[in-house]
This record gives sequence, structure tokens and C-alpha cells, in this order.
Amino acid sequence: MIKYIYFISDGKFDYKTLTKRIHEINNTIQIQCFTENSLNRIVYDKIIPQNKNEIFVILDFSNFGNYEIFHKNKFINIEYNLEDETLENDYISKIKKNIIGYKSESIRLNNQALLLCTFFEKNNYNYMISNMFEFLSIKNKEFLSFTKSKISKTNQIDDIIFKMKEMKVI
Amino acid sequence: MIKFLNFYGTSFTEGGGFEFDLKPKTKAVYENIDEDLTTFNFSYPGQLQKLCGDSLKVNNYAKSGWGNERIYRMVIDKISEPNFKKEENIFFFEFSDLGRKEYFSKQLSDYVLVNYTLNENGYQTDNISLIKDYFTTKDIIEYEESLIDFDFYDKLCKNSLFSKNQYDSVIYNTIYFIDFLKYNNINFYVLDNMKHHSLIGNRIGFPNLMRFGNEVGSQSIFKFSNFDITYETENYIKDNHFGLIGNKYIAYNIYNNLISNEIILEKKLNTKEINENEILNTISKNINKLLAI
Repeated sequence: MIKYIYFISDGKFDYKTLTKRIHEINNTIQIQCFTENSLNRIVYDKIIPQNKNEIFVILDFSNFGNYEIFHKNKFINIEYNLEDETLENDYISKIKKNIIGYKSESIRLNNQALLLCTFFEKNNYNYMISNMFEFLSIKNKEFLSFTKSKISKTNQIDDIIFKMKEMKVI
Repeated sequence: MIKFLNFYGTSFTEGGGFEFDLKPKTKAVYENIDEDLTTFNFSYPGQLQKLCGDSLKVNNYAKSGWGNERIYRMVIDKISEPNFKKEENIFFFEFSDLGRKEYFSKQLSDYVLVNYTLNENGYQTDNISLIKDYFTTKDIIEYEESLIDFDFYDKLCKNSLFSKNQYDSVIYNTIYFIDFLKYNNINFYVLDNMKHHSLIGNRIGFPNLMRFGNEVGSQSIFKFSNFDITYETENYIKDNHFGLIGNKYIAYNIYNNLISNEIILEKKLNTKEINENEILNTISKNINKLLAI
């Protein structure tokens, strides 16, 4: 039986409204949200230690625009725009200027989604994906097949709630 | 039916130490052994190719200095190729330990590699070693270095490389990667359990570990680390990469493992067939000639 919902995202998300909407339907489920974090890291730190029979995970893969880095003893999220050419000379701007490129971000986002979703599927987690992967170009046939039934129509809260009801989580 | 054996790893798999085009002394030491003087042929995948003949094609995708992040990228790329057939391929992995971190360089439009050492507090403090290719011509290195802001990368490593994070990321990325291979029914073997490096191997609990004997510690190609270039050149060339004899032993063992698993339908080979003394004698003669000049 699902006791906890974990919402994890590497970008921004209005998780307060999502929490409120879920609790309007079922207020016994506890909800934990981790946004603006590397999903790879959060899954290892926060999801794997849980009893997987009691949790439901919502994976919110962000589009280009967020990059996590360890800085001054903590992880920070760097928001970037690949077309921004007005970058300054401070450290964070230099990170954007030097190491965040379209090619590498495309590979990183694709591989993150491919590996994490496969990990969830292989290990029989209860999970859903809160967007349509419009920005991704994954061609792996198994991935395209098993994710079909797990993706909400859009990453709008109404569609996420709809999918959770469909999957009988709430 | 298996057609391709694909190897991924570090310099130990690439054939490190045998960059003959850039190392004339090494070339002179290994002449007259009846072996093609190429890095591939002197690597254990190259030696395995000789044992397999034309029936199987061995691809050596390993690269000196690089680590696991490159392995994940390249394997996912290969598996995602439209014409890829899993039933025709076997993958072999020599995973790396901490100490290797790749970054993308927008200036080079390619990945660059940082080799780092963390201090007792867990942070990078010394100057970093940053490179795209260890074995290339001087003019290419100078051109690439002129495009890279070394001070920035130095600061980046000192700020962001921390032992716990790096340790955790090696563990979780390898877990996700191995599960991806298993879910997709990819044929693979792990050639090193990392126990010689740290506790990482114990945490991950690698499946499909290839055995190189029955004794303790035999689940790794590094069982043959005594057969290094330093050993077979009697200290004339100091290099802890596998020597030709070490690479032959590894190739024979992999070949026999593939026979045990009915991938190769031949008779097992006896490692006594490796003409170790003949190789050592020829190397010794070559070294004496060089010393006499």
C-alpha cells in the first residue's frame, strides 16, 4: 500500500499546489518533494533507501536549463540559457560559458532519463513520469515501450493528478 | 550468434605503455618478437583477436586516462544505434576507480578529462591534470590548450570535487548502468571488481564478473599486474601497465572463459603455450643492444 509520494525534479515546479491537490483527494498519503536537484543523486540518496512497496515516485525531468554542481559545501542548481551570449566573468557565468553546451546537455538529459526510468522499471518501482519527453531523443525500443503507460499527458498538475488516479495511487 | 567483442576501459585495456609511434625506445625493446608493433596488438583485446581469428571481431574502445563516464556514454550510444543487434555483441568492462572526472568543453566541442587526487579532507587541492588525449601530437595539444581556460577548470575542480560526492556518483551511476544492461538483455562481462582500488566494488556487487582462476582475488584482470612492462623489460622501461606476456595471459583466460560459456566452440588453450621465455629472451637481447650503443 502506498504511504508516501516522492516528487523529484531537476527543475522548478509548483510542488506546494501539487501537494495541496493530492491532499484534497487523500490526506493520509505523505508527500516529499525534492526540486532543483540532480535526479540521479536524489534517487540514490532518498528513494533507494525506502521500502519500495510503500512509495510512489513522480519523476519530473526538466528541459534544458538546469545544471547541478557542488559548490561551497552544498549542491546548487545553475539555471542557464544556451543562447545567452551576455555572460559575465564571475565563476557561475564561467561555468555556463565553458562546460554547459547543447551537445553535452542533450546527452546528459537523454542518458539520465534512459537510465533512471530503466532502473525504476527493472526494479518494479511504482512510478510515473510527469512530462512527454518532447525535448528528448531516446531511441531505445524497450524504453519507448515501457514508458508509454507511465507518462502523464503534460506536466500540468491536472494531468499529473489524472495519471495518478488512473494508476490508482490516489 | 556472437560476432563482436567490444572492450571498454582505461589504459590497461587500451594497451597503455605500447604507444609505439610516440615511444621509439619501447619500439626498439619489443622488436623481433613476431608481433605487429601496434598498440592494439599489444593490448589484451588485440591478443584475443589473434586467438579468435576471423570468426569474431574484437573492438577495443578503451582510452588511456579516461573513466566510467565515457564508458556509459559510449555504450549507450552503441546500443542505441539503429542497426545494433544485441544477439551479435558482447561487452567487456574494466571500470575505473575515483580520480577521473570528465567535463564538456564548449571551446573544443568535446569532452576533456581531469585526473584528480583528493586530499585527506576529501577535496582536490593540487593542480589538476586536464587533457583530451594523452597520446597525440604536440601541435594538437598546444592548439587545444590555447582554447582552454585552465584557471577556470582548476577552480572548478577545487570547488566541486569532494570525495563523498565522487564516491557516491561512481556507485549510483554504475548501479543504473548495470541495471540498464540487464534490463535490455545485453551480454556483458565485468573484468575487474575494483577490490584492488577501494570498497566500491564491494558496494556495487558486480554481476557477470569474469573469473581468472579459482583462488581469492582472481575476479580481476589485475591478477596479472605482476606481469607488467617494468617486469618484462627488467626495469629498463618503468611502466606498470600490463606487458605483452600479461596481456597474453589475460587474452588466453578470456578466450577460455568464452569457451566455458559456449560462446566459442573450440578446445580450451593451455597458457603454457605462451612462449614466455622466448619473449623475455628477445626483449633482453634488444635491451642489451640498446645499452651497448
